Amino acid sequence: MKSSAQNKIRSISYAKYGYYFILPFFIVYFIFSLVPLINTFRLSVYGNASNIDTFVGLENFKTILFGGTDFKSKGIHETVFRDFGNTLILWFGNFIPQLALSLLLAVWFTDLNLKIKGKTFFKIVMYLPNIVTAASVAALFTMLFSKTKYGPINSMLLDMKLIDEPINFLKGQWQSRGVIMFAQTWMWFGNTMIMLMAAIMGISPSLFEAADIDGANSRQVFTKITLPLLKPMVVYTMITSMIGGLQMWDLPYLYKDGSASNKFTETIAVYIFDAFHKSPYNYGNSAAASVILFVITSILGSICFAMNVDKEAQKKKKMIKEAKKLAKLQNKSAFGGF
Amino acid sequence: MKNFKKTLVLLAALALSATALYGCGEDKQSSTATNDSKVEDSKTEDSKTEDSKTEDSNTGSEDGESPLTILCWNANDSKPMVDLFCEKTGTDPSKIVIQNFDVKGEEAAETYTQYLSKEENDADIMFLEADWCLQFINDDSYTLPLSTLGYSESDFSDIYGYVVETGKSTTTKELKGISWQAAAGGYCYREDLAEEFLGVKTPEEMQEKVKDWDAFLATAKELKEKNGPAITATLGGVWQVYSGSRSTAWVDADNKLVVDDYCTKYTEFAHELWANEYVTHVTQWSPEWKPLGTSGDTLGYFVSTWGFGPTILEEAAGGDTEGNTMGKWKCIVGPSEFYWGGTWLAPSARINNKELAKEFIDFFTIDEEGARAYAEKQGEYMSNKKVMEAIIADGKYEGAPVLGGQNQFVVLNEVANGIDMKDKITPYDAVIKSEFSNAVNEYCDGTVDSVEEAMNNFKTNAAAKLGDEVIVE
Repeated sequence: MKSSAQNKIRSISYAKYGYYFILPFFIVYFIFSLVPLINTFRLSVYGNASNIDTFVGLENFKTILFGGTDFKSKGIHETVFRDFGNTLILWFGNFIPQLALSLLLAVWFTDLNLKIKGKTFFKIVMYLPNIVTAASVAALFTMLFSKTKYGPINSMLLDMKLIDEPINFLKGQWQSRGVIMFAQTWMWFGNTMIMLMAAIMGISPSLFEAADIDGANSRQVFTKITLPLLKPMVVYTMITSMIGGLQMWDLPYLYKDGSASNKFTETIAVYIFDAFHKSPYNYGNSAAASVILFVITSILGSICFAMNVDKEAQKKKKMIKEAKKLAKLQNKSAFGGF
Repeated sequence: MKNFKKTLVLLAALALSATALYGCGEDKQSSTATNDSKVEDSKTEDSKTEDSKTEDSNTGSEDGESPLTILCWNANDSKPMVDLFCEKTGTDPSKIVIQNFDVKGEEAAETYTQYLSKEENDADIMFLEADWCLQFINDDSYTLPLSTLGYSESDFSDIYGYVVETGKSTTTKELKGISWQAAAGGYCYREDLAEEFLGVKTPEEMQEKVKDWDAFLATAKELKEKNGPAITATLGGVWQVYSGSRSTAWVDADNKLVVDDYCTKYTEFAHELWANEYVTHVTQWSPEWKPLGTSGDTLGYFVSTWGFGPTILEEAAGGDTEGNTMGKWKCIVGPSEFYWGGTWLAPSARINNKELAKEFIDFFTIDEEGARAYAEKQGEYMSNKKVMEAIIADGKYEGAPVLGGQNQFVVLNEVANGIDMKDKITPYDAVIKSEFSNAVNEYCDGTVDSVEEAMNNFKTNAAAKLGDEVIVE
């Protein structure tokens, strides 16, 4: 027989308090994220500039996705597609070197056999660029990579006789993209490295020891132990970096020549910002582009998420389910025989 | 006990969300409260940076009269203006509220719209920058015609023509704003370099060398042949001037974008300047821009009224540093008259203190004593022609230090008289001009190969930005 006290204890549900504690977040999220999100959907079916109050249906989407023959539709269509292209190029260009570099460094820093001196120092130094705000990084790079012969990098290269003409780092197609990719990589590889290191250190050392005893070389250890067990973290980094990359705004917006936009580095977020904030205020186009970006992000996000699902666990679940089904069937047939 | 815990948790959650939601209130009471504190905030910031005389200005409504609220995006102009106005007219400083948003000029339009979207927010006079003033001037829900304050156009007969023209609505042609400044500009060049490479000794001779764009190009060529400096620092500077010499408006009466000979002519002209390095390849306002003034790589800059001080020319001359070129500069009219920037004053549609607003506008424009006092205090080129001519005539003003004894006002007076903006202004000028100069730059640095392609890009990009507002064909 249970005592009344025991009964009481059983009736306490802690889950309920959890909900109270996360309530503020949801309220704030509702007001500052969900409402604007819904409003963006609303704005995307309304007109631009002085026609802001006219309902136009899917007109904005039509213009953006399919363009047209007149200068306006053609211009908007081309600009948005160009900017989506730039966004993807800039993301790939900074994510791949960033992941490769951080993975390499993370493996080196966690390898006990290597005995690297001053590990903490290097870790801090590599993480530091991430502390500097993007605005300062952009200002720094704009100054360093100035396009004329007076710019620090250009004048250095000219003095060393490596080039004859100053390189147009600010406006040239691959030059300007290269600088932004480099700056992004430089800013974020330290952060990714720390995360991967945490994941590697979470792998049981006994696995590494066993591999050592079995005579596996470092390449085999990396490909057979580290990499497979690191997969969830790599996927996580990929998702966060992808969402961040698709919304990349700060560097492309700030790293440019004067006030003119650079058509090789203008990302979709810059387009959305400009259309929304600059006269004559094309809210409709801006919102429609945001919605398209939202859809793309959701699709890419779900693909990454699907990749992350543990296949073994899924298989096991399936097997259990099937076994249950079978048992049920057997039961049924057993009783059904009557 | 259980209930107590529950209540406690609920209270904590409520308190958290309440803090997060603070300031979102819709009801009049709370939003007015936030408002007042906002004014207060910007006030304290003012008084931190400058010696404030308008402190406690939001108590001005005590005597039943609403204070004069001035909307502005920084206090560089409004603060000294209000100070001088109160000092000279004996107005109680508490009657004037400077609603300073402290943002960049290009962000001001958006901030104003946000501020004015709340009906209880007061505004009497709005500061509007040349680039986007028409956005508000053309909209009757934001600004009122100056005639509602009792002005007629003839009251401004002493004001330079272009200043009055720019303040007119392009739709109704009513005069809705007026500026106290005339931001006319000229070509400033280095005397020593001009003498060395061109054999030019006086500003008059130099003016002859750059009297129009053909002469300008010929002189640029002459300089390069003698291994001299570029004739001017940036293509952006040339465009600033050249765009002022367009004979028609960018958008015609049928609301169509006008792409004519002028555009192709300029594109080719710019390409010639760029390809032969008659201009340096530096960009305006970039860190390398001003040092060109001491390095001897440029002969001159195009400078507006506000650029004779440290904003452009003084810093370009090197200021107090060693090897500076202070006093070696001279100012001339140059190939074409132009103006660059400027702030217009417009009565807000919410104006509730018309007397004081009129007095304020009067003081800086029509009132010769007031305008003169401000010109002398700030060294600013006022829009009142009579005042400026009087200042030039009595010879007390010695000119900007960088010019070594030349009075730039004489030149600027000539420029301001020559500027004609009648029927040439449209609300889309800023967008169109920047898209045009982008297209020209692409042609210059080789991103596009032909003038046609550049013009096509210009039309496409301008159309994409302007949307349904302007027809592009």
